[in-house]
Amino acid sequence: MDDRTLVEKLKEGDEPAFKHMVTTWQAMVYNTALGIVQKEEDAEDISQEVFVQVFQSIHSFKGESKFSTWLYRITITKSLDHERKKKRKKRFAFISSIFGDDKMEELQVPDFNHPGVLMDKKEDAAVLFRAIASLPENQRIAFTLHKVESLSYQEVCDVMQTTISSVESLMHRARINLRKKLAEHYQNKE
Amino acid sequence: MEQSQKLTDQVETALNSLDGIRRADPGPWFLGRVNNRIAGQRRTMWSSLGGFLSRPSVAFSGIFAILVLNVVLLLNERKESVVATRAPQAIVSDNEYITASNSSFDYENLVQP
Repeated sequence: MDDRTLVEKLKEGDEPAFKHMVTTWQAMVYNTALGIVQKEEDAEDISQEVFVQVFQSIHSFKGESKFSTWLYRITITKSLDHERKKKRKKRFAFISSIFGDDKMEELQVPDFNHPGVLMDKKEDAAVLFRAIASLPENQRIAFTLHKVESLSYQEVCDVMQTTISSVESLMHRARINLRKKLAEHYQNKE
Repeated sequence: MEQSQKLTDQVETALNSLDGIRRADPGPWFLGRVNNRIAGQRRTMWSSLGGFLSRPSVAFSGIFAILVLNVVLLLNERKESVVATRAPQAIVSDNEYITASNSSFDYENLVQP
């Protein structure tokens, strides 16, 4: 089923079309969310929210971009909203901890192990994911889409609604920052 | 020198650790969970609407608004019927006072040349 037919059927409220859409794109949405939030339960929750949002707002999709691009954008927006909420919670927990509350311990994030990483690279990947989490938002999104979702620069630029040169620049800066953070990590380890 | 090279190698290995990564999957029955969520949201929408409408303040305001609307419509209807019954009389009386209208008197008393 091509994008246009699928969208038309979704707009008509066709149930098999919705099923087809979810089964086709669920891994893409989940993997993208997982790359950003780095927690499996949160990624699952965000993925569900993404498909609920698609169900509710399919009429606002005008077909100016590819359907998958639209899905990526919703996923990224939802994941970043989730991150912001989590940060607010952390800040609140920090303030509470000043007054003697122990909520801070619950929010300590453990190392993230992506289930799709090859076995012999798991340890290094966990260190890399921790470094990725500390990147500025745009660099993090560009790097995750390119490296975790294996999108080309052109596809990343379509999703982020920017130019190829800015994606290249984001990737370059992301690599510089990551090299710095990884070097610090390995130096401290020794 | 050797240590710096080792560090660079470690960094590059970590940077390339995502090469060959496979997509993670949300697990079985994901569609079912999405459908449940949509159904749940529909339920919460209706139940929240029901909850809102059954609040005493909202319910009484609604009843009061309906009563006011009824009274206004009733008064408007009465006014309209009074205007409607008066209208033909007004037209007749208007015709009686039209000075430009020609009556039989005018024809009988025509000044002959």
